[in-house]
Amino acid sequence: MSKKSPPKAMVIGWKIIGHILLKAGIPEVTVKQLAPIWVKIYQEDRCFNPNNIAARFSVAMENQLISETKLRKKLFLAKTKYGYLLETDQFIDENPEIRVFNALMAYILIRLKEMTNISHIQEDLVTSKISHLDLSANSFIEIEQWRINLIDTPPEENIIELEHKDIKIFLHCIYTWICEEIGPMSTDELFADAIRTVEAMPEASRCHPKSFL
Amino acid sequence: MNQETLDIVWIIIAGILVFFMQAGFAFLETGMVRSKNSVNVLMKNYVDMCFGATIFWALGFGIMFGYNPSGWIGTDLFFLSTATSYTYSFLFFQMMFAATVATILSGALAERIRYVAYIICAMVVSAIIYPIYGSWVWGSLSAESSGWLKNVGFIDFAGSTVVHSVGGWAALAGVIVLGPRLGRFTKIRNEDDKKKSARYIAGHNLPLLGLGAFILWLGFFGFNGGSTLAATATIGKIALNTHLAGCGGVIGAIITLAVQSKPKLVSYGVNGGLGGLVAICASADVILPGFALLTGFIAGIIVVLSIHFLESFGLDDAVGAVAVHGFAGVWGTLVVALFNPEDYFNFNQLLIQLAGIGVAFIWTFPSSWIIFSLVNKLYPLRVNTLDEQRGLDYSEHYEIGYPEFQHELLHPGKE
Repeated sequence: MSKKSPPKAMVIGWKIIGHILLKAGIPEVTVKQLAPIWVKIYQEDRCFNPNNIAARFSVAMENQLISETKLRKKLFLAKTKYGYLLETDQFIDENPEIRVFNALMAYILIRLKEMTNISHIQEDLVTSKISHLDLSANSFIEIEQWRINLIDTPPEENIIELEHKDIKIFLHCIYTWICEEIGPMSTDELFADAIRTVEAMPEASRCHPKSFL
Repeated sequence: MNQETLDIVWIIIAGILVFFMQAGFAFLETGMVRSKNSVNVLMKNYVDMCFGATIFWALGFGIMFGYNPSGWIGTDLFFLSTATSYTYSFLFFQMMFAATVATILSGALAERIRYVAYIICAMVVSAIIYPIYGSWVWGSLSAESSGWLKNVGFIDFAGSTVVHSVGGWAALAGVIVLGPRLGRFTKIRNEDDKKKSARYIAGHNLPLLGLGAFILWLGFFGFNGGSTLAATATIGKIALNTHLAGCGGVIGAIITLAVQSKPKLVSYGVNGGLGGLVAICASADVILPGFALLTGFIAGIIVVLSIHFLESFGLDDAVGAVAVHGFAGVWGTLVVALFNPEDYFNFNQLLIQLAGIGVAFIWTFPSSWIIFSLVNKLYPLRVNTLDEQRGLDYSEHYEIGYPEFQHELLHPGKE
């Protein structure tokens, strides 16, 4: 994966942020006034960090024009979709499989919360389903840690690292759980949307999300 | 053309119409399932007909129509090779009925039964369960012997119970053994959640469902008309009664949905019509057209109510087959005693009809349940949840119905 120059990533990042803000109905004048904040964030972070951007912009707008949560979600989805243009320092050396899987999981959980208000994975899923799966001990611990972290960490920042075999088993477990929560039709739509979004990531050319199904 | 030739021509034409019902079932069921299971449903309908016909020729026909001195089971005509032209034609016609019984199972068990397991169960129903009950009501071809229910006076002209209820009860047993599709019902989380509520799983192609329903309707003219087993003048009345009952069924279902303030779903309308057509089978040759319409109308109401009734018990019948064939079949069989123009509301006949209906259930449901459970022990009936996720087209056949449109959830290659 080749690194693109920071100014270019910064410019593209701003285009994405600007597009989201304008689409949310924020006046163009206000959007322009926020540009220096983005430059400062980029110089500090050297990456497109939805959490930080949403927090700083919300303070600047006093949370009146768009809520921090809403902005963070929109930024995360945009990062998932256009991440290859942003080419950040974050995750640069990470296994593409892990990155694609995490993007897929984050998309699914964010959308699930929008659809049902389920914000984290209940403990009964672990006792009733995950504990019966044929997972390595490391993966089991990793999943449990990830599940606990979900309670206070946004899905897009909660990274889980599993072996390829365990990714498939775990994703199927999540599929059956969501089926029981929201029904099979909505689950298929949710997974189809997630795959359509995540396959736009550059890493998907090396590890397509469908390989987890 | 002499009368015998004319009879044979009519039976063959009627048999061809009943054969065409297989296309109706295939389209209707395919339209009512999700796209990822469409090939599987189509293949089940196509193949159960072939296996069902073969086993019925070898075994079922003899059990059902062979010489039956005890009244309980036929004893000859197995692997029929040498017979009169009429008997050949009769076997051809009855073969289509046996295939219909097997196909009733297909829809109810759709989207989660393993292909080979389904074929085994469908063959057992076509070869043993259906012919044994059929021998009690319609047996035998020999004038010297007869089925015991027939001797008692039980009447079922074209099979409201013999074909449809038997298929419906076998399907009910299969539905119970298999369990519901993944996510079909909500979970019971705590003691306050007393009942699971059903989630609607929409079919992927409602125009196909509509086309299937029209084809089935057409087939019922052969199903009921051909049951005269002769080219007689009563065919006109039978065809008219069949059509009116189908119309009544649709009207009954739509009005029931309107009264319940529920959306007028095409699947309910179609099932209501089919319920009417099933109900009229038992009495199509005797009752008057007005009563045929009423029979269908009540059947339409029964179908809608019984679909909800089954759902309230957490039973997942993917296409409403138990309601259409089982419950509407029961109602149609009772109509014989209620609306016979020569003897309205005959109480004695009603008791006999009730006995025949009860015997059908007592024979079919437990025997089917045992067969399904035994097969399940030896060769699991149900696909695993990963196959359910990927769809049975992929997991059972490794091909899909709509490759251009099923991109997202399609696994990239077979393991």
